[in-house]
Formats: sequence, C-alpha cells, structure tokens
Amino acid sequence: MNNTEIFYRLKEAVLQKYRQHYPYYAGNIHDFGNKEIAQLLDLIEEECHERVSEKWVYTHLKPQQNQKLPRKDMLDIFSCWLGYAGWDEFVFENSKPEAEITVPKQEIKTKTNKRKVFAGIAALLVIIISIGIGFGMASDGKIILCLKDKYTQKHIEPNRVKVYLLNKRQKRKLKSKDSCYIVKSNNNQATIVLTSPYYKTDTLYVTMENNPQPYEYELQPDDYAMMLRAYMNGDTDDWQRRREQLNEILDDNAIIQEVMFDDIGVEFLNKNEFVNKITMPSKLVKNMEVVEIEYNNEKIISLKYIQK
Amino acid sequence: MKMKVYITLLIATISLCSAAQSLPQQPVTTSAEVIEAYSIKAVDKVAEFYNYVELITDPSLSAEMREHTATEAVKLFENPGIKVYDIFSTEGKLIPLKDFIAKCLVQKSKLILTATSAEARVIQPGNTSQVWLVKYNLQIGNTKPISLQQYFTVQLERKKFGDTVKNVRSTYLGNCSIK
Repeated sequence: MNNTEIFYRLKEAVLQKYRQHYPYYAGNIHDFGNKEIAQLLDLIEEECHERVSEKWVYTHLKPQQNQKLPRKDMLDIFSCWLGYAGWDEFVFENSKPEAEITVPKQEIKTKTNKRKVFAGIAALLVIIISIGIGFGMASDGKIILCLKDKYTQKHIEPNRVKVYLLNKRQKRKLKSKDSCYIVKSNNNQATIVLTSPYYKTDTLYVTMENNPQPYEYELQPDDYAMMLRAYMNGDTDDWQRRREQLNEILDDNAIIQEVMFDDIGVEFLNKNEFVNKITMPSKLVKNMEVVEIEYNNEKIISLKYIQK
Repeated sequence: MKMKVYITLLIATISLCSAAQSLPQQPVTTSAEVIEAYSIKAVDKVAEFYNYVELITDPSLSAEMREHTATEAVKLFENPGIKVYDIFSTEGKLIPLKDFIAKCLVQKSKLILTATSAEARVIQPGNTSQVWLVKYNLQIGNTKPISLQQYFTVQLERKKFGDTVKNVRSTYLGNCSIK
C-alpha cells in the first residue's frame, strides 16, 4: 500500500471522527461544504491547538483523487487529531491492506497507570468543586448566545464570525451549534470577544446565569466588507458603477493580498489591479473570501483574501 | 569587547527590522509551506486563465465585459507573445496568446473548459525568481482531454501601490506545450 492510499485511509478516518461529533452528517468528505469544513477545523483547533486553513481542506481533503501527498506537518496534525502520535504512526498502523480503519478513542490508547492518574485528578477536582459549591464560589452558569446581523436581522453563519471566551489566562474559541454558541463559565461574569472580517469587532460582558432562553446579540456589519462580498457574489450588471464605488472605498495606496495557509502572500495587487479583477464574473472572484481588512481614514488600506 | 559585540548585534537587529518593515510580508521561498502555497497558486492560475477564456467566449456577456476579461487574461502571462494551445484548431498547434485571445473574442458560443489532474513542480528554484512546470489535462466540452504542460514563474519585482513602491513576488503564466 503506497502513501497516497494510506492518505485516503486517513481521509476516511477523519470522516469517521467528524461523524462522532456530527452523527447526522450523511455525505462523505468529498461533499464537505463551508459549514462542515468550518466545523472540522474548529474541532481540530480545539483538540490539537493547531489551525488548518480552509484552503488546505479544499485542496487536499475534498478531492476524490490526490496527485501527491500533502506536507507531513499537516498530516501530523490530522493524525494527532485522530489519536495517533503523528503521520508515521498512522502509516504504521494502517499500512496493512487488511487493516481496518479505526479512529482510536482516547481511553483505548491510555495506559492503565495514566487512567489511575486521571481518576485521581478527577476525584480531586470533584472534591475541590464540591467544596467550592459549598462555599458558594461557583455559579456554573450557562447561556446560549445567538448572533444576528443588525441590518438583515438574519442569523450570522458560523464561518463568518469567531467567538472567543476570555478567561484570565486564556482565550478559548467557542464552537457553534445551529448558529448559536453555548457559553459556560464558573465565573459570575464572562467576557466574550466577537471577531469577523465582515462585522465590527465587539466585546460582550455577560452575567452568567442558567437561562435556557437564547440570548440574541446583533453585530454591526462592516459596510465596506459587506459591499466587497456583494461584489464577489454579484452579477455583471452595472459594473462600471461598481468600479466607481470600489474606487471610493479603497485607498490609493491599498495593498491587496491573496493569502494561503493563513498568511503566506502569493499574489499582491494594487488598487487598479484589484478593481479590474473583482469586477469580472469569474469563478476566482466568486470563490474569494475576505479574511482581514485594515482601514486608514475610513478607506481600505490593506485587504487579505483566500480562495475557498 | 563584549559591549562592542552587543552594540554590533543590536545595530544589525535594528537594520534587519527596519528593512522588513518597508515590505509587505514576504515569504521565505525555500520553506516547504511556501513551496506548497505556490504549487497551488500555479494550478489556480492555469484554471483562472481557462475560466477567463470561458467568459471571453460567452455571448451572454456584454462586448465591453468580454474585452475587459480579454485584457485581464493577457495580464496573467509574462507577455502577449507567449505560446498557448490553440483549442480552436484541429491540428493541435500552439499560437501566440494575442492571436488566441483574438480568436476567443469572435466566438459565437461559450466554451466549457476544464483543467484536470493538474500538478505543479518547481524546476528552477531561486530567491528572486522561480520557474515551475504545471502539467494538466485540458478538456474542451465533452471531447477527449489533451495533456498539456505550461510554465509558471514567480518573480520578485518592484511594484507600485499608489505613492509607494514595494518589492513583492508576482506570478505569471508562461509558454505552453503539448505533452
């Protein structure tokens, strides 16, 4: 079995593990859309503290056939997520033709002594939490936060916004469920940061209480980013007027970058080049996704986009 | 003596930092991640060109938009004299880009082009310029795919962004040949 065939096994294993989290997903990995990819990347980030780009998934995981093996450091990330030490172990365990693709569960790989340590820590935690509750220290609050676009009043797609819960020492990204976010905190107050290239960054200070009713919050759209998005998905009608509008919102010194793997610039466009490109109804433009915008005197001075 | 070494190191660090600030983020071309990024970009650029050809031949678009797209298609290449595969010829020949675009502009029906099994590999590495070769199969409508290969270059060049000039890497498509 060659490495490409083992990579196909890894793809199947990724799908299996994804289905453990989203059992209602009936398609295969080649059918993954924006939503599934965003969910997969969030799972990986949460468990492995590594961020994989959407582009990488589109390039390597979605295709039915792969011409070459992706970079090993990326294969290591996915193998680790599946419970292996890395790509080398995944190859070793899955290289036999008759080997069944399995997604190892954490407890299977954990050795007995580790189990004992874990049980000890868990018992200790239970005691500490019990004492804490006894002294009225932990509120154990949970709220459901749903985000809406202030103008359209529609729920915001999870892949367009990142929601972080801030603690004293860390910043934890929250997973979405049905376009809402479950915020759990033992503190009386939680600080939540909302970031998006399409909406203005916002910070919420929420009083934690066990409330089953979703708490709805409206995000203020970034008008220029939304305008760009509309152009990227628009038709060719009135394209000269669009050129004029783009000229208005872009600074003359603007630098527009196509980036990959989060931040490697592979194409640098000036204002005129970008306006010329974005006013065409090409597949490239329709697949553009803005990832970062910087302003100078209320005009776009820097913009980064990826190809979905 | 130690103090001199520290001062020299400090000056060197400051010089490097100020040089870096004058440029947008520049990738180190030798890293595996950057090489992979450009290999994807090379394949994307080929696909972008054939998508432009589809638009140029699309009669539902205005003549103005087709002309605009034709101009943009030429900009994907190093120069208009670059040889591309003539999809309108039955002889399987290569013609200059400008002649090919002229043929596209007079088409009465939209072409459907698909570049499949594309892969790119660097054949001439370098820090200021790189040459890549992209191999792919081009399918026109439902016809049998043709195996082609095409050069793709990454060049470090000075580019104007309004009032400022920066050193950036630009990418271009090069000559095409039949495998």
